[in-house]
Amino acid sequence: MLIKNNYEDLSSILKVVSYFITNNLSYISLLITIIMKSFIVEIVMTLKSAARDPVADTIQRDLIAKKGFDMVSHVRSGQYLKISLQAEDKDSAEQIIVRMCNILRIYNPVTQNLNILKVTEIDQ
Amino acid sequence: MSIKIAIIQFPGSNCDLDALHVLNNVMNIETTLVWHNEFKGSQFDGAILPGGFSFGDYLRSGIIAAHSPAIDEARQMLKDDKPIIGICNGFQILTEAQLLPGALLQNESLKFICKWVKLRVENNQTAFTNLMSLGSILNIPIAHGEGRYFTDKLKELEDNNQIVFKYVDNNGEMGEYSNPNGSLANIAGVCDLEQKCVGLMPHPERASESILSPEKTVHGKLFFESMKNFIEKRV
Repeated sequence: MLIKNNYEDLSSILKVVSYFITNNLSYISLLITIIMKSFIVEIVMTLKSAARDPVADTIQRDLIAKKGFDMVSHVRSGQYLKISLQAEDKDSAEQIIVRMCNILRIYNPVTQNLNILKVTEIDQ
Repeated sequence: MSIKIAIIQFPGSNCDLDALHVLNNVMNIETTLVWHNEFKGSQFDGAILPGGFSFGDYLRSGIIAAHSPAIDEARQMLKDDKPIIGICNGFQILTEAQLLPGALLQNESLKFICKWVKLRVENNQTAFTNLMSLGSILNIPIAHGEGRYFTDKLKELEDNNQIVFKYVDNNGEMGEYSNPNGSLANIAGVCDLEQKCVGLMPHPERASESILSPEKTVHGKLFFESMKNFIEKRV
């Protein structure tokens, strides 16, 4: 009898909790937004060293070297993305972006390396 | 038997109508254009991913189209023994979707190249080359800015016989000037391990009528005849 009562109690508590959640979704999401911080993650994707980079070679050969900057020995080009997101902290912001880049193949692991340039927290 | 082929259209595809014309009017193969979001592989015996600039080639050529539901359908078609060919941008999509090995990078010259080239058949066992002779030379045009084939698994491709076409010169050799875009090992086209999925940068649909060919050849027809042959033999 006692056990049955406990189950009934638990079930009624769950009902109250689910009622509270469904009726306060906007407040809850606001609360999550307050807890989460804003970050900007800057990433650069460069060609792997085994793949020739004719864009960078042209910049180096036909501009830099020709204009006398002999001290410049090597150039590699890349693609840059600046991504804004909400996350708990810097580490998790970086982890989310790396995971996203891998899942969606934002960079192509056959030809490119992914480099996280910078993670910056933004004041709300 | 009558076979049905789909040409999958992505936003930015622009060789879809050329392929449709050749399949319907030159090859007499029943072929329909299907928008990528609506494509159902179960309704067709084979599929063509045409050339163009899907999703503006943003981020990398083919990467956004590689996430289309049409690619899941294509994956299932391959499991069901149905042939799929990716031409030019279609090839880029198939590599980005990892249905084919490797990747396509910007041409070494950094220029968009549009010209007739010669291809040597390196594998005549695939769904799209089974009526070609091994080592034969095909006249097919290219038209691309990002066609430099790259892989970090060249040995694996060679061992598995996945290299289907190589760019060669008039003598069938890989001479200094036979590689138009800087592709690794002159690779112009590859296939999957099962040899049912083929991708290549050149355009067979532009080489299927003698009036369009400088040497009056129709080597492009061999691709679609082979496909038909593969499907009919499979059934």
